[in-house]
Amino acid sequence: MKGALGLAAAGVAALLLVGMQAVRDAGRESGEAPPELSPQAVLSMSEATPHGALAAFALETPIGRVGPDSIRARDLDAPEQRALQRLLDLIDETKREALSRLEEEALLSLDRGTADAAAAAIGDAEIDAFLRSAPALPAVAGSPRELASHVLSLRALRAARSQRLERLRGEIAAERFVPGRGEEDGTRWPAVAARVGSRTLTDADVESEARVPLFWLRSQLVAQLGRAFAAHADSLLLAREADARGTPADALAAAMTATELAPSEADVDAELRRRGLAEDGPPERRARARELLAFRAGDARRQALLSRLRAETPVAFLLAQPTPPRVEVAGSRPGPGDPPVTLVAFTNLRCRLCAATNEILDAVETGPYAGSVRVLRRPLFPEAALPLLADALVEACASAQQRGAALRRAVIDAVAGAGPVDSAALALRTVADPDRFAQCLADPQTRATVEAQRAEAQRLGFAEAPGFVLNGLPLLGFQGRARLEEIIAAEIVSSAQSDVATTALHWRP
Amino acid sequence: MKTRLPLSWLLLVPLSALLASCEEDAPKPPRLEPKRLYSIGDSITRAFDAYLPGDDLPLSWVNGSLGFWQQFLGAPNVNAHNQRITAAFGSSGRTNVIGAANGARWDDALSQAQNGIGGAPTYVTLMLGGNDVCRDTILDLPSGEEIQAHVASSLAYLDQNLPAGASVVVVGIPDIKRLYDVAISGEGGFGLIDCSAIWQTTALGFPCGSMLSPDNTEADRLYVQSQNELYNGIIELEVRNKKKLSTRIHYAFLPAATTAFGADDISSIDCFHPSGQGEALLSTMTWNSGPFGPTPAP
Repeated sequence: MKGALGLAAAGVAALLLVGMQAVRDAGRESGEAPPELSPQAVLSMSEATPHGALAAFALETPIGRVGPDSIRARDLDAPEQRALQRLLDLIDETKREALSRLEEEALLSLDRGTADAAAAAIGDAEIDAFLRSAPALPAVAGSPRELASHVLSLRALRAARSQRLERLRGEIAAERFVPGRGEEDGTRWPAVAARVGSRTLTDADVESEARVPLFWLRSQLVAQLGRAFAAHADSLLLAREADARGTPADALAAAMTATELAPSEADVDAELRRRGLAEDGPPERRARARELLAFRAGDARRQALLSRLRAETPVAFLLAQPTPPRVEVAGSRPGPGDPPVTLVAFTNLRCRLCAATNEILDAVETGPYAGSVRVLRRPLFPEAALPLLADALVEACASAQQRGAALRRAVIDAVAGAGPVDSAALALRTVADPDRFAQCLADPQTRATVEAQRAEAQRLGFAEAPGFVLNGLPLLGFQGRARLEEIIAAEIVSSAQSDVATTALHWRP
Repeated sequence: MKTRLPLSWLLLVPLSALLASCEEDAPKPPRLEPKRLYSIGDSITRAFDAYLPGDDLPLSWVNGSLGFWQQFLGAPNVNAHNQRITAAFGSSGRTNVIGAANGARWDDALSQAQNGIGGAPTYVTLMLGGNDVCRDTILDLPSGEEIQAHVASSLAYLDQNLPAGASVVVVGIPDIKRLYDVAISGEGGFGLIDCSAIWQTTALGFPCGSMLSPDNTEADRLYVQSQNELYNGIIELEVRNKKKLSTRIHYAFLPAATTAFGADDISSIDCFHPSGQGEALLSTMTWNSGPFGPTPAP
C-alpha cells in the first residue's frame, strides 16, 4: 500500500509537471510569454489511489473545459479561490497533525530510557482543590468528584507523556523537511517528510496515517471545485452569448427576466394550494406568490438558453472524485459464514443524532438486507467526557448479555423525557444477570477495551459520533437509511462478483 | 449557479451612487475602545449546534472564549471578537454581553438593542436576517420595506442611545443558497455527511423550509437567494446612510454573503448552523474587515 502510494505520488507529481508544462507550451503556442509559476502561485494537491486513478489539480492546471478553453482554479471568483485555499490549508494541517503523531510514536519507540512511572492515584485533596478552582462543570457532568478525578487523571497522563517526549527530543536527533507554516513554498510535501533518529517518515506514511480525513477533505475539494466550475461555465456561456448578440451581459439578463404577462390569479391560487396554504390568506402571500411565479418564468427562459448553449459548447469538468480508502476496524474482519457486509457504527447513547442512527441500524438489520449485514457498534465520545465513558461501559456490559438493543431503546425513551438519565440503572432493569453485569462494569478489562475502541475511532479520523465504516469504507457523520442501503447493495453485488471490493462512485455535479 | 437580482434591487443602486457622491462622513467623536461588547443577533451568534447540541456560547464568533472545558474537551478555538478585543486592548474594564436570541429576526433587533443599552456598550455587533430568509414557506418572506423599517428603527435607537464614539458593526446575511448547495453537493461525493437525511430528522420539520424544503425547485431557491441579496442591499444602504449622517456613532457594514464557506464550516449536528470552524471563519472575516482589524472595509 505504501509502495503503491509512493509510486503513485511520484506519478502524480510527474503529471503535475506535465500539466504545468502544458500551460507553458500553450502560452508559447499563442505567442504569449508563459506564466511564471512561482512557488507561491502553485498550489498543488495530489492524490493517488491503489487503483491507479489519479486526481490532481493545481491552481494553474485545468479543472475543466468550456468549449476549447481551459478553465483553471485561478479563473474562479475570488471568494471561491479563498474557499479553495482554506480547504488546502485544512489538508495541510491534517497532514501536519498526522506527521506529529508519527514523530511522537517514533520517539517513543526509540526510547531506551526508563518509562515514566505510572501516575499516582488522584487524592481527595487534589480533587477538592480542582473543584474549588475549576470553572463550572459542563451540564453533562455526573458526579462532580468522579468527573474531577477523571479529568485530573487524564491531565496527569498527558503531562507525563509530554515530559517524556520533551526528554526524548533532547536525546534523539529529529528533523522535519516539510516547510514550516507561513513559509512560502506552496503546499507540496516532500517525499521524505521527517527523520526521527534512524526512522524515516515519508509523505506516503503521512498519507496513510491520515487517509480517512484526507479522503473526506479531498472529496469536499472536488465537490467544491465542481460547483464553482459549473457556475463559472454558465457565466462564461452567457457572457459569450451576450457578446455574440452585441449586447451587454446585464441587458441579456434583464431581457430574460422581463415578463410580458403577469401571473394570473388562477396561477397564484394554484401556487398557494401547492404549498398547502389558504387561497384567501394574507395579501402579502399572494403578492409574494406573483413575484415568485414571475421569477420562475424568467428562470425557465434562462435555463432554456443555457441548455441550448451547453448543447452547442461542450462543458466538461475534469476532476474525478477520489476513491475512498478501505480501513479495518479491530475485531470487525468477517469470518467464515459471516454476512458479506460488515457495518461498524461509531455511536454513543447521548449524541443528538445517535437515537436516529440506532433506529436506522435496527431497520437495516431487520429490513430487506437482513442476513446480509452484520452491524457492530463501537463507542465514540470525547476522551474527557466521563458520563459518556460510563454509558459506553454500561452498553458494553449489557450487550455482553444480548441486552444492548433493549438498553438503547430504554435510554432513547428516557432521554426524550425530562430529567437526568442513569444508563446503569436502566441496564439493570433489562439484563438477566445483574451480578454478572456488575462484575463486567468493575472489570478493568472492560474499560480498557472501551477506551481502546474509542481511541481507534479517533485515530481513524472520526472526531464525533455518529460515523461508520461499511466494509472498510469510511462514512463521515450521520447517514440516512437510504444511503446506507444503497452502499450495502453495491457491496453485496461486489462481494457476489468476487471482485476486489469497489463501490461505484458517481459524482453528480 | 449565478443569481439574478429582482428589478427592485436596481432601484437601490442609484441611491447608493447618490450617497457615494455626497460629502464625506459627518464628523464624529473619536472612536471608543471596543472593551464593552454587546451582540445583537440570532442562533448564529449563539453558536447553536456549533460543537455540542444547543447553544455553544464559548464558540460564538462575537462573544466566544476559550476556557478550561473547551480546551479539555477539544472544542475549537474560534478566536472570537471578544478574545481579540482582550488581546488587543487588555482585559481591564471588559464586558462581554450576548443579546442575541435563537430564532431572532430583524423585527427583534430593536428590543435586543434596548436590552443592551443599560450596559453602555462601546462595540455592538449586529447580525440578523437569517431567520428572515429562512421561513417555513417562501411565501412568508418579509418584504424589503419591512426589513428596511426594522433596520432603520434599530439603528436609530442605537444612534441615539449608545455612548458617543461607540462602534456598530452590522454583518450581512450569509448566502443561505450556498448552504443548500454545499450540503447537497456533499452527497455527490462519497462518504460525506448526509445532510438531507439530517434535515428530515429535525423534529420541527425542515429547518429553513423556504430554502431547504425538498418541495422547492431550483428556481424557488434562486428566488430566495435573490431576496437574501435584496435584504443585504437594504441593510448595507441603511448602514452606509447612517455612517454618513451620524454625528455620534461609528458604523460599518461587513458583507457575509461573499464568504464562500465549505462543508466543514457547517454543523455536523444539524447541517444548518455554522460549525465551530464556521464560527471561527466568521470571526476572522468580520474582525479583519471591521473597524479594529488590519483591513477595515470602507
